[in-house]
Amino acid sequence: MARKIEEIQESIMFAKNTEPALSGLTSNSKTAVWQLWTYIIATAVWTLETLFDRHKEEVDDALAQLKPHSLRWYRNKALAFQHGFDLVEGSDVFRTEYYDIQTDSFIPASEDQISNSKIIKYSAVTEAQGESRLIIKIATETGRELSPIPNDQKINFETYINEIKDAGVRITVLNYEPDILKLQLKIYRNPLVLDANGTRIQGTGGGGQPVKEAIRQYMKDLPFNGELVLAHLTDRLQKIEGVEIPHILGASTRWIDSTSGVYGTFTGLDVKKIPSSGYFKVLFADDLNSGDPGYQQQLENASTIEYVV
Amino acid sequence: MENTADFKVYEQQIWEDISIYLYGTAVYAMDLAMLNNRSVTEDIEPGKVIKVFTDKEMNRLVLYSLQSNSSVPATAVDLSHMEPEPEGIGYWIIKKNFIVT
Repeated sequence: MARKIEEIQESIMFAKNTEPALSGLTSNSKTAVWQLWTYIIATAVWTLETLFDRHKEEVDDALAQLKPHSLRWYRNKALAFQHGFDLVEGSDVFRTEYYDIQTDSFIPASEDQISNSKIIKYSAVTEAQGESRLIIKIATETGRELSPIPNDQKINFETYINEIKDAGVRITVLNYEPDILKLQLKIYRNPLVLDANGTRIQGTGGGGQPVKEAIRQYMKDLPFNGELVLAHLTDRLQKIEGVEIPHILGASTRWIDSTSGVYGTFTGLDVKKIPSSGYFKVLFADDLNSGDPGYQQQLENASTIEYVV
Repeated sequence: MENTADFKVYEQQIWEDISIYLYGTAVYAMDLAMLNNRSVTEDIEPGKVIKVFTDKEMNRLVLYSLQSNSSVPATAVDLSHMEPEPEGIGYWIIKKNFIVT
């Protein structure tokens, strides 16, 4: 751990005092030339000590990332998956080139091709409770929203994971549609700032529905497989100008059932919840279009916000 | 995310100079370099706009002293301006740079 500049300077001063040849340097002025030199040297030593600290952190991090058998290693491997590329034979690393039938040769892939092939944007790895099994939750991003990867890509991903995993490890890949979060909110509004529909009357950006925006932003800020805490959501809503009291009347979630493959029934949410699929989706009732074919089902999943004075 | 603002680098400033100029102490030099994805030992091009912190604790005494003298710390060594001194026994001066210990 790097010492402070003052501590280093003090140790230089201590060494100076033990050196009879330097006893002529007696000025107490903080800007005496010899004092300034001790400060410059102390700053240089501090820079070096801080660099050593950073270096150690980087090395520790690299060691932690590379250590096999850890959950983090599996997560990094999931994120490193490249759809359409083969593995280097006998290794767990992807080739940086692809086979071209016409020329019967391997063509080096461009950076764009490689980054486009990395379809897994989010991943979290946990251990199953009650049995020896790893659960790898994955998701990609479509139109700035989290979504599952197509089924054929999931099969490829599972083949890849089975190829690189340690012997004897059983793995389940979860690539589900998001958990649905249904909120019933009662917002006590300041009528000077928010209208009866929760629309901002004035201000930068003009219009907009800050409560909905804050909920969407909270969901976005939540890390993948992160825990949703209702109290934190309330705190976020409390910060909005025009919101006097944010009151959560009810919150419930439903998620894809692993045996049936469809959404289960809604379960009440008291304090906190880690999403089964790794992420939540919130729909708002007044954003839905009654002409849509799946309107009734969407309405069932939709959250409602009541604005009162 | 910490609060940041833009800052235009003066000529011959190093990260320590910028830290002293903005906060009155050199201790944020490393943090500033890292914020801008640079190395603390790297030169910064004059006029370059970098990100700086707006929520760091300041040493107001040092800042006041700098501002009252209109001082802008800029201590980078420009090697191109340094004239190489000739070396060798023909140029050395006894007891100045020709010292036998």
